[in-house]
Amino acid sequence: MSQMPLDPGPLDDADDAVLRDLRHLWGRLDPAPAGLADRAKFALTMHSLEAELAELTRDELVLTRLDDDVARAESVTFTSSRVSILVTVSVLSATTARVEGWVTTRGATVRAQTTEGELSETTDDNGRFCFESVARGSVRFVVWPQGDAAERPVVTPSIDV
Amino acid sequence: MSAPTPAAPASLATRAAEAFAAYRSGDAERIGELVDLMTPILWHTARAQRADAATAEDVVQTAWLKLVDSAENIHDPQAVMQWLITTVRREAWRLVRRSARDRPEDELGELADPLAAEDPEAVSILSERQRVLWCHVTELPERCRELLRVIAFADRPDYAAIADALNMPVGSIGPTRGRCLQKLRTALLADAGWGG
Repeated sequence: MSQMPLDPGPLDDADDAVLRDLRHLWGRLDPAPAGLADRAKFALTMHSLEAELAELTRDELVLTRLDDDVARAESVTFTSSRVSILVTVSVLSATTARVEGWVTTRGATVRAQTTEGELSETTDDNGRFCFESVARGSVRFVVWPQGDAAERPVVTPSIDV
Repeated sequence: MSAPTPAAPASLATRAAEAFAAYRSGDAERIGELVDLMTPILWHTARAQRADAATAEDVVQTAWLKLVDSAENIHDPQAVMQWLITTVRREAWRLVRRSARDRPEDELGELADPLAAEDPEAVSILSERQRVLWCHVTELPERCRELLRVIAFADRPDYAAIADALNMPVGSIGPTRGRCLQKLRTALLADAGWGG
């Protein structure tokens, strides 16, 4: 075994290997919390929309908290100062679900943000909206209560459908 | 003639720069890619400043909001990684010092790196080889641990910029091995339990 020179040389492949080991070591001992990136993205969305956050109101039907961020729901209600949103989910398949809901204002624009992309609907005269097929997984809703893109939207926490 | 070597994958700073440049030119969705790329290294940057978990999370979140508010002031997208690491390090440092001031004298000892002390529960999840490595890492000066912890989550071309963001002297690492990694390599070489 040759002694390493006192003067540190250029980085070599063995350094890369040690640093890879260090990455695994710290990734194991003290990993970034699983939801941290998603929480940061959510904060950025709220910030960019100057949005108001709706609160998840416990619904008497089914609502089980899975963790801090995501609730598995069949029917849930969100409330904010300007609007309430009721959402009912029916599972269609392993990958898709039907999401039906009511908003307390007419002509509201409702956008569903899923892991697969975004869908938009406008509520009818009864405040009803329906997304016939959304990708299952985490979904959050952005609602413009008067359907006016210039107004401050209301954003719901994510639910797991 | 040897076959042309395939282009090395872009470094973390370069991938971050691409996402940030796209975000700034109007592709708002690309900020999510930047968040995914940078969250691990920013977490470790904050934790290396001895921020507790809740503080580290706050600091990382705050850095993102600062980034979108100052996006126009970052002239070179390639600098976005360095900007984020600098922002997280400074804020974590400030909050950790502030909470230390608010503490009674006899609790100041708790400011020590929570992972430096041998935590039997944490160490029990490590492989034998990782335990050997961890043992030598804990012997390093704190600044060395901080540097190695953060650069371990980036790529070789980024090391010098990260050392700068961590306020380390020029030449701490990249293009040369630098003193910290040299120390660790020497210690590992002398340890029969490491085995190359």
